[in-house]
Amino acid sequence: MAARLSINPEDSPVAYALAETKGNTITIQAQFRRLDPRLRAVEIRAVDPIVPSGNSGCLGWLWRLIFAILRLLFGNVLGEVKARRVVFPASGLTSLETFQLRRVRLWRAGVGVRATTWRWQYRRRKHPWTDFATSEHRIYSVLETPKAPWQQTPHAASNTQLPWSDVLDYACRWAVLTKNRDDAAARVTREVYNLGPGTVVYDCPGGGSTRYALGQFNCTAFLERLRGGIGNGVYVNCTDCATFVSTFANILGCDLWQSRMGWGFDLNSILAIGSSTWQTACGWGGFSYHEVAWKGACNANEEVYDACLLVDGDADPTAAPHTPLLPVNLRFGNPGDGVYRDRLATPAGRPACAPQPTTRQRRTMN
Amino acid sequence: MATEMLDELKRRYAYEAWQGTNRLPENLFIQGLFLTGDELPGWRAHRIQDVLAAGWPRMIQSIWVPTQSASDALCDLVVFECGSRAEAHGVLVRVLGEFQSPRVRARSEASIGDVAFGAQGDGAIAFARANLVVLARDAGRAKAPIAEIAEAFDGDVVRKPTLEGVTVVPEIRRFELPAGEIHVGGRVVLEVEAADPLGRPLWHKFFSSPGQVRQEDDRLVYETESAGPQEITVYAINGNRGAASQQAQLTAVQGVK
Repeated sequence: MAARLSINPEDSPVAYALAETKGNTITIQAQFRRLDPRLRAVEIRAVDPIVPSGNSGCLGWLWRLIFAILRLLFGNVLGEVKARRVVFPASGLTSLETFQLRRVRLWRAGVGVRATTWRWQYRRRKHPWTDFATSEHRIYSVLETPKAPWQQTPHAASNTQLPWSDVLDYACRWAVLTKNRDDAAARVTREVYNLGPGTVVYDCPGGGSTRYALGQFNCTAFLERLRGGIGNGVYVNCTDCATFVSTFANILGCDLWQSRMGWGFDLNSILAIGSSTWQTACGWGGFSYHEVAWKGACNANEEVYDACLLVDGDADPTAAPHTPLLPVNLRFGNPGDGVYRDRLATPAGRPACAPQPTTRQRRTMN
Repeated sequence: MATEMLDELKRRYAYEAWQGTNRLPENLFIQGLFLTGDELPGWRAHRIQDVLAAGWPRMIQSIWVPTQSASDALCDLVVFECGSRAEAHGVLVRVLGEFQSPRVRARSEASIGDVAFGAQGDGAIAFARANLVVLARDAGRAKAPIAEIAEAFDGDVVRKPTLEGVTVVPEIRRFELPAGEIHVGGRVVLEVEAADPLGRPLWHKFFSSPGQVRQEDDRLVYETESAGPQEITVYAINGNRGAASQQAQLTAVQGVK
């Protein structure tokens, strides 16, 4: 059999859509080369090398609990590779052989980015199993097939809208363990808002102008910023935040848009991303427009996710004291409904703070 | 962009009052602009990207860091290359539509652009010059002198290149206008062929009077609204600022061709 092999998980990434794979047997393909020409056929399997301690008593129970939690967060969710017989051709190199997986835990674990390590073993008839390789894989679990702007086809390097593993790294971590679109989008929204003030802050000096999503989403620059680099700088506005949220949530299978409201309306006090002061957006008094991640038709009846600001969540959003509320899965509403629109805009500003669904879009990435 | 929003932006920024403004003594058209990273004195480019986004003209996005100090200052410079001055002024309105602040105002000083707008506090300036729209913004935790940067970049755009001091300069192989006369209101196709001896890319500046050069589909045209002698000077410029120039004349007459 081939010499022992071990590669880093990030060199071998794979993503599974939970909804589309549920109820199906997951298979993988692997190729083998024999080093001993006398080997004609062998049985091959792969097992999880990390097994919980067999200790009994309280300590053993506690260890098994910790192990289960750690595995759910970071560990093997693909289970094991079921044994099957593989026949070597004269060349000694097999084709890609299909194996079924067993004890798969993907669907119980929800969204995540985890590592699976397999210890590959073979045996000749009646012989004991012999280890011959170890492989490591980064496993992304997303809720559903990624939605636009992400595309699954064509499978070509020129298609920059194929899901990016760099985006999956963040999105899957941000929404870890979630099992539905609303929860995943809410977690992504919260994580984007929490990027302030360390990574980004609201663009007061530049008049709240679009920095990362002007025309296209400069996702490369945003990832650079997330990793502590320069990116497109420290400032963001609502369009940027709406684009971050919808793009990162949609790679998990959410179905959000970037859409605007307006034009020209007065604001209640808000807490802009990266700011610690309740005020009417840099003291301007209002917004000429505002943009959020929005569900469905992006109208008054649909819910919004706004990572750009906190609104006042108490009974009177027009006055202090303020109860910080991150708008996640909050219906936009009509004036007087007491939902997003009323919390964002003053009573006089609410009529002008109207959904503008013709602006609905999903910016492509570069 | 939604028509309703565009109308609102035109009203808010008094588009009718400044559309078509040219503050230069002649007309200028830029074609194929690229940045090399040394355009802003005291700054070097951290990243320069050519971006083709649906619904927008060609865009150059760039981030700049100070060459000397280790401060946290950053400058974000975005340049849109439009097909004409008129198109640039429409794009400027759309760029202003990317500001959430209702306090973006026209800048009165004549030193930046044909028309310029700025955010309160000088953290961002958007201006149109010839067929370009430029957005210069503070992007770091330490303050960058955005007005100074915008003025320097604009000065570079409008300056006629010096034809001395650079050893490797492009060669203009052909710069032709159709023979004869042009009728007022009509247009002629410009044929320009230039090459760099080292095969490097070139960009062009066209200074013209009294008519304007603009892009029409994949070709350059010259059009004029007034009769009399017409003059067009083209500069072909390489990445080292080596430049070559050539001039062409024709006469415009009244009447319909």
